[in-house]
Amino acid sequence: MNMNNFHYIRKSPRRTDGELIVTGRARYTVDIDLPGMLYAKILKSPHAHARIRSINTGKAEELEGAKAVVTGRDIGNRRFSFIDTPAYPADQTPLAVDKVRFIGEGVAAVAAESEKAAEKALSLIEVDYEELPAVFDPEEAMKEGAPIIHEEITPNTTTAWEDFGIPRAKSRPYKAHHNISNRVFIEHGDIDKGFREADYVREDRFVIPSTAHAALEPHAAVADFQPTGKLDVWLSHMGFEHKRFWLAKLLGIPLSNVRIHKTYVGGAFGGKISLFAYEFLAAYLSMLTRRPVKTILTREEVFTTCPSARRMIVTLKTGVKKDGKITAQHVRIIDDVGAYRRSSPTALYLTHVFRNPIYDIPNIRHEGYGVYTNKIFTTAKRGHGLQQMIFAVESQLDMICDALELDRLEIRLKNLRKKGDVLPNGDTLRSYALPACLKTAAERIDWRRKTSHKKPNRGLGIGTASMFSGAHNFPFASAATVRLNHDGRVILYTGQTEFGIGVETVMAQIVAEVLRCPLKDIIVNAGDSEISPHDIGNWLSAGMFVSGEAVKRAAVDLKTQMLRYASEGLGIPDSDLEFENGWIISKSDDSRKCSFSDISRYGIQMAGGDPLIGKGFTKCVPEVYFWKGRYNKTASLTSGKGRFTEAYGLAAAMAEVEVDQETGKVRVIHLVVADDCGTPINIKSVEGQIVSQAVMGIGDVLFEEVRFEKGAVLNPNFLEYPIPTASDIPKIDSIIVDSYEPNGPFGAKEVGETSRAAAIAAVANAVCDAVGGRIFSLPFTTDRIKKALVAREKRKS
Amino acid sequence: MNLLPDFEYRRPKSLSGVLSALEESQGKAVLLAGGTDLIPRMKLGLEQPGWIIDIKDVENLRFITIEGENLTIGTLTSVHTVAKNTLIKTYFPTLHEAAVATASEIIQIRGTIGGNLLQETRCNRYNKSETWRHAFPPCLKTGGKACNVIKGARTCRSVYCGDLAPALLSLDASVVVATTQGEREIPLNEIFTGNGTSPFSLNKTDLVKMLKIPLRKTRGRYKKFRLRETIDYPILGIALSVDDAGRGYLVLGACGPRPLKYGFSTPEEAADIPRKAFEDMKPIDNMPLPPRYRKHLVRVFAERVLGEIIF
Repeated sequence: MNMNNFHYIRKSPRRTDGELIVTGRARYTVDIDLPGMLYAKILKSPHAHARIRSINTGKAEELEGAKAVVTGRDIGNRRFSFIDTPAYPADQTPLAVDKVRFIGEGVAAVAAESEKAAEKALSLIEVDYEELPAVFDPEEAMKEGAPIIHEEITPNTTTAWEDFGIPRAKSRPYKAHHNISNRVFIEHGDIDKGFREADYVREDRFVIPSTAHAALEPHAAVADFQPTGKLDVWLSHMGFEHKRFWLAKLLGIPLSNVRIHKTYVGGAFGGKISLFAYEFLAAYLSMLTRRPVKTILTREEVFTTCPSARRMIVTLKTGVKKDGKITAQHVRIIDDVGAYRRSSPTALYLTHVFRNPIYDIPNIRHEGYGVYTNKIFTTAKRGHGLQQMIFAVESQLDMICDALELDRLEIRLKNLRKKGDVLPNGDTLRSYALPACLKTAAERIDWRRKTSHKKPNRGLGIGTASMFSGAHNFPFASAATVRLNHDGRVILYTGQTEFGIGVETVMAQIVAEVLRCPLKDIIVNAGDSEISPHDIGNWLSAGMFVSGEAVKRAAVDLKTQMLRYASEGLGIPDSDLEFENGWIISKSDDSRKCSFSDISRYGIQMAGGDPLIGKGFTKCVPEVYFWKGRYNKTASLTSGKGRFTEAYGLAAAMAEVEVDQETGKVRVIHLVVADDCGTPINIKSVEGQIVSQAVMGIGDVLFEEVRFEKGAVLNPNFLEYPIPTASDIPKIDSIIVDSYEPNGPFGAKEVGETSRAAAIAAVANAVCDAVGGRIFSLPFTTDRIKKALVAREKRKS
Repeated sequence: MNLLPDFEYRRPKSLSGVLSALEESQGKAVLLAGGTDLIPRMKLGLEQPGWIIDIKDVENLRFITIEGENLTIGTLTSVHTVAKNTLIKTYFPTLHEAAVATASEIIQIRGTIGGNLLQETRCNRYNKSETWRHAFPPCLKTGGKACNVIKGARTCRSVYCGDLAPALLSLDASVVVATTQGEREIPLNEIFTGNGTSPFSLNKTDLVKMLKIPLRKTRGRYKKFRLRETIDYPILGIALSVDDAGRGYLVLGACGPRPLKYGFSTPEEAADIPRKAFEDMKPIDNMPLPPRYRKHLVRVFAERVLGEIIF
């Protein structure tokens, strides 16, 4: 394909919805106000672990303005989770039924005429708790005699995986031994042989805390249950399919009765994929009261009742030859899941499979344990498990270089996989520009000169990362339709959700590119569960690769239909016709042409009223299927077998920092991120992804940690939980390394999530380089850096 | 949304109107100027005043003028105005730098010098919502019997985080307080009690009307250590001002319930301050970074600021 021949992609058109957003006209969930609407509030547990003896709601019910008061016992054991499989059945209920497992867990909910009345009603609810011993440290929780957080969980319905038709054994009760919520064990090669072959082996332990998503829009939901049995909902989310599935399942109503309306979403970052208890409660209270119900969380509630990113302890044992070639790696991870398991089985598998394409490690063992603790549960955030692993692996590679006196760039180049490699599970690296990413970034930051002529107090660091372009999870495919309108404009229907990523613009660019019509002629109707065909959603980096391809195919389908009618209508063979700027023109005689509007008219007048609708669809991993006992290459979360994804995005980052030797304060001087994202459909959007993720990575290294005090989140606001401000952001170069992914739309694939992980490793390694010592826990707060500086001085003397 | 509690709201136009409203409220009133400290505290349920007396419309409280031997700054003067004032920049560089380093520009525009001075002390177990605080027993500052940070502590060591006070103290400023009984001038140093539960010695019916700074040219610097380059409260603030005769003050902020002030009239005396300050600072684990590290910072920054301005 001629890469320079594009008209609407590989360009940076203005966002089609930009004006709507910046003028405050884009409608977010908080903007939805319906007649007769009630406000819901949730009463939260002040105890990290306690049995609920009784709840007295009498006074709250009598309060004027209070319309409904519900407790966990009223709702019952309706269990939900992100992962709900026969082996790992859902363990969470919308409100605590018999006991609370973290500070902030909901115990009762109220719907009232005003927020004030709802708050007042909450204060009138009396809960009698029997406090239980709590455990906050995952390693403590695994010990004999630790408090037991979950009793045996017996599924009372089919699990979601059974509902989806994924072939597995029937669901069975789950009994957590030593508070272990889930496990993973993946092995390739011969780990013992790998270590025997090594000239140098080292083991290190890294601790990565929870960080917050810090989406600017607070979490909110509006639910309106109609007398017809229909439920209209507006949510702050990242794709409607999971939300709709779980709302229908928990409420016991047909899936099609739930309509998730399109909303704009003010940031998500992986944090808004799964159903939230408050979303169910808004819907449940609406069903009870037969009135619309709205709930908006405070920032503190977002921090204390909605999950932040995963807390992991990564122990890494690696063997290398003298020349730096890795022979074996043994990974052990403890995932401090908090009170509920949620997506830990996914995360522990992803810690391996996301980073799998980077280095060619012949012998590997990857084991992980999810462990319950009495803290808020955790979830995905921009590279679910990737950044935790990358921080560990890339930190340790630098330590290996120090020990063996190897060049930090060379050791990475030496161990990289190659384009065309087939991974142990069968995934093929059809596009793979990671070597080019490393080399380009090195040139941009002037790696060789700067590392050989090191300035005092300065340090340089490298990081790499890789990431799926979607995986085979529910609903396993995306589809799109495009419809030609009377005036020749085209309406695209897609289930993609706009939460800051510019998805409506890039999808319109794809349609415009196929049909060669002006971008303004594409109308995007996105993210409405009743109007959009099924869609994988905007997470696991699936949006562009999977849904973008479906959109492209829909446009191609429409184009084929239009071409046929144009050929019939003009009496010109279709081989002599081409699409150009909204016209279909004869190549041999450009005076013979028809407009898109003409084609619409032809469809109606001459082709039996044909509305001209194009349809496109694609599976996340086409090779995988399951149908009534027949199945192929289904991925296993616990053994790492089966196919994962069709394409990997890759990135390399390099950072230069300066460290104040007395205070430990870091100044990031320059950060370069080279991202292999395939064809950039919208260059500015891609750069935005890269830069924003680099900034997030700086926050991860220097500032961010959700801190706890006896199970309570100690910094549940943006004053105490610092994210980088504009003043903290250095010069960031984003470099697009276009590798052309043959299976992606116009060669596009994942972008963004890799940039964060690569930036984390680069900045962390640069700080350690400047310090002359290693820091094993994120974030690198100034006191930790100072401690490392003191340790270095001690070593010297 | 954190909802504000109900309150009586008054918005007098004159100083006498404020004073009579204060008296009428019988100690139930708080004064509202920029609101950048008060409103978040009310939303967290830390302050539940029966009355709010909004003084934004009160005449003649926004000024920076020379009065005899002093520069006077009206209490409603915004932090941003202080930061932009050229006289202040020339005569009192420390105050200028402290104003620039306060919060962020948007908050500087909203916040007043009087409000900034009288901001409440802070603690990471205290500045939280009512719901959050339910997970712990009430602390000394919320009327309880024990501190939630230090077991057995008898006094509250919540931290005074103002940026302007250390600078003003280094300039030997005083405050003019208006009451129904008339006006009185108090050295700024004396308005701090050193007790975190009630950090100011002023009465509930007192209004800080203006600040007075002896008008003489100084050299100086305000060094602020914070996590990020903007918005944040200081982890440590150090103000140093020196006059032409080499006399001056070094003042620590964010080191405890009150700023710590050290005077010197010779370089030798000044050189000994970092050691003294290091010994005097007794931080506890109630701020973003650990106490030992914050103590370490005192010496580093005291030495640096003295090195830059004096030695």
